[in-house]
Amino acid sequence: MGNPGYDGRRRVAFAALAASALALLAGGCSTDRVTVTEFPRDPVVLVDQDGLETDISYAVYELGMEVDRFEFGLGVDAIQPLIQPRLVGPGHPAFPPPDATFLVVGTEIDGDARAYGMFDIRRNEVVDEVIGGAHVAVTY
Amino acid sequence: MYSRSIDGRVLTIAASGWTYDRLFVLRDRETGSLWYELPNTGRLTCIAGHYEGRTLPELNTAYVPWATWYQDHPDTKILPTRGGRPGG
Repeated sequence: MGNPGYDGRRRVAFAALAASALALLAGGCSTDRVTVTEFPRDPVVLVDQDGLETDISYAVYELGMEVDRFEFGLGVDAIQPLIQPRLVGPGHPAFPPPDATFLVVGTEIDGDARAYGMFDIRRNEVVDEVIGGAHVAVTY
Repeated sequence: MYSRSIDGRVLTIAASGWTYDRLFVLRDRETGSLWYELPNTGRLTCIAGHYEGRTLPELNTAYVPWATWYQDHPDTKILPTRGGRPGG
């Protein structure tokens, strides 16, 4: 996950600081101002298919993520989350039979047990829920 | 499954439309920040935007067959499946 460019910039910045310190010492009581030169990093920006720009400089320079590994950029409205959808309990006609064969994401918070079929989550990527009083994002 | 509360604020988490290493990159609608689960962290990290560097913890989550979940939680509620191939 390392980013050689980033490390290189850090070294350059350190060298510049050292040079500034030496210049300050050598200058003694000189009245010349010490100029601190910053070495700005080129911002890294993702542009999605709707033209929405997101600055990912932090992800690239601080977290070591690589811009080429971001894919698709379908736009923020392409996939809508489900927001507190209606669920069903035992006895409801839509409640699956106990022996149905599919995978779920399940959680229980404060006695409130919820299950979400993985296929249903995949379609929306996220379900924004309140479970047992806690605000949670269901995804996987 | 992650918390979506931070600093007393509730976030609406949605798809960003991006993936990274073929995994979803999420986005909160309140600030437009991007969130991603970095490998071996067990939490969502804000990788871009207002909450850069902050994290949302993962909650206790089971990934199991429905039959197993129902056996352990007979009073569970479930999101009704809306057509398409059941399970996944």
